[in-house]
Amino acid sequence: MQPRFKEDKFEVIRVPFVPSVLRTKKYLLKNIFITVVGFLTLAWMSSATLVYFFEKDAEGSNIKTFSDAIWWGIVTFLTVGYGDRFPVTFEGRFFAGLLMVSGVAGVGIVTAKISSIFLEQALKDGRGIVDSSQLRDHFVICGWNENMNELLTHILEFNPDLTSQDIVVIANVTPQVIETTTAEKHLSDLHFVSGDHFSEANLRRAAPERARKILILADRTPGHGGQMPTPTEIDARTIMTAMTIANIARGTLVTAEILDPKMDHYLRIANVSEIIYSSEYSRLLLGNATSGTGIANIVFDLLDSKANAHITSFNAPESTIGKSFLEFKETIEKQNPELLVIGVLENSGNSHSIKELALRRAQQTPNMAQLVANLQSVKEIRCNHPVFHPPLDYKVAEGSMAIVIAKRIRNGKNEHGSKTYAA
Amino acid sequence: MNTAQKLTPPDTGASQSILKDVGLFADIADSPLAVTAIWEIMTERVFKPGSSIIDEGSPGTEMFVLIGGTASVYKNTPGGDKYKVAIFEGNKHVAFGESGLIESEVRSATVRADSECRCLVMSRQAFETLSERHPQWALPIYKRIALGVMTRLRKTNEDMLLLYNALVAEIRGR
Repeated sequence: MQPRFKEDKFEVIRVPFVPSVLRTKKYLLKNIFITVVGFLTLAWMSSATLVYFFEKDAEGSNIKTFSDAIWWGIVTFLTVGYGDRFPVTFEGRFFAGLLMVSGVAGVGIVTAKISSIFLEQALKDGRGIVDSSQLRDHFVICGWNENMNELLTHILEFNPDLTSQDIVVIANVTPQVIETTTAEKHLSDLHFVSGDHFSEANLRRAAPERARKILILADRTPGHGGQMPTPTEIDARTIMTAMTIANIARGTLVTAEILDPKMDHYLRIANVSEIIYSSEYSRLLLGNATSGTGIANIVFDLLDSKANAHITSFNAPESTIGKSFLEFKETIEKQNPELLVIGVLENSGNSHSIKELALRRAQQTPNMAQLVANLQSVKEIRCNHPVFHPPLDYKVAEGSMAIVIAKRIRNGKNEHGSKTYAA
Repeated sequence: MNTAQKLTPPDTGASQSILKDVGLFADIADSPLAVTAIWEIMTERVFKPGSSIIDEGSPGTEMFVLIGGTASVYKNTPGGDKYKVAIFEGNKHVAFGESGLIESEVRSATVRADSECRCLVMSRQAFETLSERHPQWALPIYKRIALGVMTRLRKTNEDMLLLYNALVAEIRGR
């Protein structure tokens, strides 16, 4: 049997477009713009006809043909008033007066409508609302937290090729908060989608299927009534978001922050490739600090982008896959003198694609017993599983990355980047 | 193209030892007359390195005995990924494709020459002519083919049971 993956499809429900007379009439009445333009055209044409009728044979008149009348009509109702044609009879002047009055009113409405379109556009730009068709290889952040500016700054520091215009934030924040955030120069081009990040419609506006990475934050923002959400509520929102993303943007790398470590199971189901246990981290660090090993400082410096060296994962060259850890380490360190390899990250990347790869590998045997064993091991696969300091003869499997401590290169891009944001 | 030629029968001893290695002929390899008769209906074909001897999915009516060079057996997963199943070596005198002697079967694997391969080829037509002329020699061969099919069937049944158990265990959630 060919492996098939059942894909749940969300269908967008549309009101069927039935061009009935009733609907058209309703639509026309609702849309004041179309009504006004229609009324103006009617007024123009009827006045021109009437004026032509009264003027064509009048003495001293200069509206002799129908085209003269049409030309006179538009010059009049647009309040241009060249005066090259004008009615001379009483009736002609009467209808000319009516056209002038309706022209002033109608043109005013049309002008207001056009300028409001531009104004709305400008307002949208100011609030960073996204035109999702333009987004490619961008970074999506779902949710908000109290240190958002610092977090965004760190994201830009760790990804030197990103600028703020590559970041989309989906969060329930007020325009004032957006304004304060974008006031900082390096964050001025951020995109915002205002609303709940767990709503499918809002997620879709951030084009998650084309994103490079999606980060779901544990959003502690109070609800509409001002009440604080419980940790379970926060985690539930995170899980809903992850599951929605798994449905509409399968294959995109997702990192999620979770408060209750017991909930991580649901994130794994939703193919989240990295889970951040933020409260668990601080608890572990606090516990470690009591032992006086200085581990808190070590961990902080390893993660800090401004320190001399930091811990990161490194894409191992193709040639090192399948080799022993000793060979793997030596090859990478020889090619990249600034790196120190301290371990292997097994099954790195997006958990969906890791499972796909593992499934394909598992089927490559003619032996059924082996096939069953292989398939069962796919189920147990642990994504992004770090193995520190493995035995030297440990075999580096496909899909692995190196865990390295990278020295910061002086005068390099990173150094420059962190200086820019230091203020 | 791969060249085919009529076999020049080597001395009976050598051909006897080759046919003895091939399970199908094991029962009749002691009779020099039978060996000569079988040898006569086979041709030798040479395959260049990298060319396929048989192709998975295409029908075939010939049986091959590899007598020189090495060849690899490949299969495809249902998803279309190719993987290596086994390596045949010429000095082991491996026979493959024997069900082609009974019916034009759809080949279940690809055999590709790694180095220049020499093969003895027996076609179904030639084998049928032999069975009509010398049923006493063809019968043990049919018996061997039937035994092979039975072994494979037993294996398939075991596999079925294995898959069945795995499926039940999976549904139960262990």
